[in-house]
Amino acid sequence: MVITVGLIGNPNVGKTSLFNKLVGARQYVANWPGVTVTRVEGATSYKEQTLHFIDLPGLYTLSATSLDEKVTRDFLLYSPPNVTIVVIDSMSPEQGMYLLLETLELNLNVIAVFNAIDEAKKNSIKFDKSSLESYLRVPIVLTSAHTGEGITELMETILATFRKPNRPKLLDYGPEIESKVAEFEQYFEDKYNKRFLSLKLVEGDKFAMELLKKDVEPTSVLPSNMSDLAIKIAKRRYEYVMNVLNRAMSKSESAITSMEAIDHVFTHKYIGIPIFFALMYLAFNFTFKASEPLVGLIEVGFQKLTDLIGSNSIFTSLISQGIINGVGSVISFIPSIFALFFALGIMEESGYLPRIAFLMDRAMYSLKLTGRSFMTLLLGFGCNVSSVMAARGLTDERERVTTILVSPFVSCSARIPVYLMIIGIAFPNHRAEAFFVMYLLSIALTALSARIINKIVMKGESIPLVMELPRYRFPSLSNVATYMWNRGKHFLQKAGTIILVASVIVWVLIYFPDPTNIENSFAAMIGKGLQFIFAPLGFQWQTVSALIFGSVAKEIIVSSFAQFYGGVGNIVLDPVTASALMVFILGYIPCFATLAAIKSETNSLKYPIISVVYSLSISYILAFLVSIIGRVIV
Amino acid sequence: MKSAAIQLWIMLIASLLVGTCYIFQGDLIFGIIILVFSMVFLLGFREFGKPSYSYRIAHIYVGSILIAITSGYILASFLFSLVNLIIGEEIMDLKISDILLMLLGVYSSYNIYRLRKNAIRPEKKDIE
Amino acid sequence: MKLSEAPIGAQVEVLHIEESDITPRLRGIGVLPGIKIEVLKSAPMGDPRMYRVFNKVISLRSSEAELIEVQTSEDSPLPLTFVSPGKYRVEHIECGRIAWMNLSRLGIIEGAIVQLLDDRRVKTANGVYDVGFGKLRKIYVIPCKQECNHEIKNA
Ligand SMILES: Nc1nc2c(ncn2[C@@H]2O[C@H](COP(=O)(O)OP(=O)(O)OP(=O)(O)O)[C@@H](O)[C@H]2O)c(=O)[nH]1
Ligand SMILES: [Mg+2]
Repeated sequence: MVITVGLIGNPNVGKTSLFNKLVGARQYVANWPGVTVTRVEGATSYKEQTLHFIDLPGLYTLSATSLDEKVTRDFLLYSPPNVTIVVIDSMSPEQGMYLLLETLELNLNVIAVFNAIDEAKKNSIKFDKSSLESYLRVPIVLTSAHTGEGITELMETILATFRKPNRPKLLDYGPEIESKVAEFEQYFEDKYNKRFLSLKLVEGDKFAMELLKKDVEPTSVLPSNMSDLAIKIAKRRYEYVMNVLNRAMSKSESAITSMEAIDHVFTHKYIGIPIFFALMYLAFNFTFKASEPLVGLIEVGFQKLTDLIGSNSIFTSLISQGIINGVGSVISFIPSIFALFFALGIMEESGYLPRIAFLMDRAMYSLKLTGRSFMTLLLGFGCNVSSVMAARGLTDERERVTTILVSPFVSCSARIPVYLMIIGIAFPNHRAEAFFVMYLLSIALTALSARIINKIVMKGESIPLVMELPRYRFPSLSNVATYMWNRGKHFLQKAGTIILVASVIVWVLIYFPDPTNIENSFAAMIGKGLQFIFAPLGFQWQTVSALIFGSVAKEIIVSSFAQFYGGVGNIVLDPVTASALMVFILGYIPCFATLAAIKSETNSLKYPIISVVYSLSISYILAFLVSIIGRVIV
Repeated sequence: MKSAAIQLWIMLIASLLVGTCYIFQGDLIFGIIILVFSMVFLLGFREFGKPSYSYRIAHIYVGSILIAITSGYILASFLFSLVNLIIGEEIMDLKISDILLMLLGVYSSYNIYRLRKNAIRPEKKDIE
Repeated sequence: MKLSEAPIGAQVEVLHIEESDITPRLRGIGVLPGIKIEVLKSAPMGDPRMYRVFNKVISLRSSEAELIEVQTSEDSPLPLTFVSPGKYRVEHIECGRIAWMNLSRLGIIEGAIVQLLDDRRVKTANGVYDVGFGKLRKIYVIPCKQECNHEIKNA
C-alpha cells in the first residue's frame, strides 16, 4: 500500500528540510522564500507502509499568481494526496494557519505541523498542542527539521490519519457569504470540489472563473461588491486564527534580538550597499585565492601523471593527452568551484540574499525589474540553470522572461576554470584584479542586456514586489557543506561524462589524420576554416576550435586548449587577445543545459534562439571593442 | 562593562589603522574594504538616544562580525597556502597588516561572543 | 494616510485596501482591514520599505504601499509634525548629538512631557519655543494619558 503525502505551506517554513529528514534526501534548502519551484518526490517506508512524499513550492494563499504557486494549487486540486501536511512556521504561525484554514476547504486529510519549534523554544514561544488540536480539529505535530524533534511522531500521525481520515470542521463565513457560496456551487461541474471553487469565486480568484461551466458568463454572475466579500472571508479566517493563537500560544516580549541588530546594519541606508559589494569582493577573492594552492597541487599531480604515461603509442596518447590532460585540466579547478559554492552557501543559508534584493530594488527600477530578480540572478553565479529555474518565483511574466534571457550573462562557476586559465597565462601579476574585473563586467553586461531586452523584446511597466524577508539563521557548517557538495557534485559528474566524452572527441580530432603534426589535424582544419570570422579579434585557430567545442559546456574550452598545446603551461596568449577572448567567452553562447532550461521554462523555441543570436552578436561586438581599444593602448 | 561609545571608538580606530596599513602596502582594494567596514562603526555614532536599546550595540556587533569574517578569510587563505609546501612553492608571507587584521579579528570574535551573551539575548535588556 | 506615508517606527492599522493584482497575496500575508502593521525601515533612497505583519517581515514598494489606507494606532510614537496639538510624552529623538543637546537645553528630552500649541510652538518645562520643522520631525512622541495630566510647570 502506498500512501501519498503532500507537503505544503508558506514559503521558507522548512518544507524541504522536513522532506529531507523524512525521506533521507538532500534536496536544495536555503533561507529565502521560493527555493523549491517544482514538485519533488521521494519515498520511504515506515512500519511496512510505503510513504510517498511530495515536496511542493511554498505559497501564501491557494489563489496562486506565480508559476510555482500554480504547481502547488494544481497538485492539490487535480491529484489530491492521501494525506496533506500543512507546514507552519512556529515563529510566525498566523500566515501558516491562514493557509491551513484555506486548505481545509479542499476537504483533504490534513495534518498541521508547527516546524522550527527549536527556534520558538529559544524565543520562549510555547504552544498548547491539545488546545490547538481541539480548536482546529486536525492532528498537530510540533517538529524541528534541524534537531529531528517530532519526526517519528509525524510518521505515526501520518499512518494514523491515513487509517482514520479526519474530516475537519469548516469555518462558517456568515450568512451573506455562505448564501453566495451555495448559489455559486451550481456553476461548477460535479467533478470539482464545488465548495472550494465557489468560495474562491467569491474571493475573485481568476482560476476559479476559468473553471466555470461553459455557458456561464463570469461577469453576469459575480456580485458587484466582490472585493468586500473577499476581505470579509480573509478577515474571518484571520480572526479565527488570532482567537486560536490567543488561547494556545504564549510568548514573551523581547528587546533587540541579534536578528534585528544584524538587520539594522546590513540593510542600513548608507552603508548597506557598500557592505554588500565588499562582501561580494571577498567571496570572489576567496574563490580565487583560497583555492589557488590546491589548484596548483592538482595541476602538478596531473602533469606528473601525463609525463609518466607518455604519448608514444595511440593508446598511451589517448590516456595521457585525451583523458588525463583534457579532463584533468578542468578537474584541477574544482577547489575554486567548491570555494565559490562555500561562499554562496553562507549567503543563501544566512538569509542575507533577500536583503540584497531589498537593498537593490531601487536600482532595479530603471531596468524595469525588481530586487527579487536581482537576487535570482545572483544565484546564476553558481549555475545559470538554477537562476533560470528560480525565475519561476517571479510573479510578473515579463520580468520572468527578461530574467531568464539575461541569466546566461551572469558568470557561472563553469566559466571559472576558463578565466583562471587565461588569466594565469596573460596576466600572471594581476590575477586577483583581472578575475574580479570579469565579474564586474558580467554584472554590467547583464544589466545592459536587461535594458536592451526590455526595450526591444518585451516592453512593459514597472511591477509590484511583495517579498518576505526571512529571519537570519546562523549557517551551520554541515548545512553549508551539504550545499557545497550538492552543487559542486554536479561539476564532478560533468567532468566524468560530458567533459570526458568531449575531451576524447577533441583528442580524436587532434590525433587524426596526422598524429605527428597538429597543424594538419581535423581540429586545425575546423579552426582554420572558421578563423576568418574571428580575424578581427586576433584569435588563432586553436582558440576558434576551442570556442566551438566549448559551446557545449564552457569547461571544454580549457580541456581543448590543454590538448592543443599539450598542457596548460605551454599556451601563449598576449594580454590584448586574452582580454578579448575572456570578454567573448563571458557571453558568447549559453551552454546546452541552460538553453534546454530556457526552452522548457519559456515553453517555446523562440527564446532560446533569441538568446543564442543575441549573445553571439553582443559578445562579438564587445570583444571587438576590447581588442581595438587594447591595441590602441598597448 | 565599557560604554558603547568607547567600544565604537576602539573598533573604529583599530579598523581604520588596519585599513590604511593595507593601502600603504599597496593592497588598495582590500584596504578600501576594511575602510568600508570601519564605516559601520563610524555610523554607529549617528544612533543617538533611541529608546529601550541603543542601536550602537548593533553597529559594534555587526562591525565585529564583518571584521571577523575578513580576518577569517585571510587566515583561510594562509592555511590553504600551506599546501604549497607539498609542491615546493613558497607559502603566503604574512605582512604586518595581515597580522594586525588577524589580531583585530580575534578581538572582534571576543566582542561577538560577549555581546551575544550579554546584550543581544531576548531575555535580557540593556547593557551599558 | 497611506501606508507609504506612515513614518518609520510607527504602528498603523489598516483601514482599506485598493484592489490590485497582488491583493490576494497581501490578504494571505495578513494585510487586511483591522490588522496592525509596523513600519520598520526603508531601503536606500526611501523605497522600498520593510513592514512587519504579525511576525513576518515583508518588503513593499511605495507604489504598492500607496494602495493601502491606514491610520496610526493609539500607542505608537509619531513625529511631532504628524500629531495634532495637545500634550505628549517624548519617546525618542532621532538625531545627532549636537541637535540632541540643543533640544535638551529646551527641555525636550526622552521622557519629558511637552505640549504642542495651536501655532505649532512647543511648550516644555523650560518655556515656550519655536522649534524648526526639521527638528520637530525628529521628535517622536506618544499622546499623554492621565498620568501626565498635571500642568507643565514653568521653570
Ligand atoms: N532552526 C530551524 N531552521 C529550520 C528548520 N526547518 C528549516 N529551517 C531552515 O529554514 C530555511 C528554509 O528551509 P527550506 O526547507 O528551504 O524551506 P521551504 O519551505 O522548502 O522553502 P521554499 O521551498 O522556499 O518554499 C533553511 O535555512 C533551513 O535551514 C527548523 O526546524 N529549525
Ligand atoms: Mg522548499
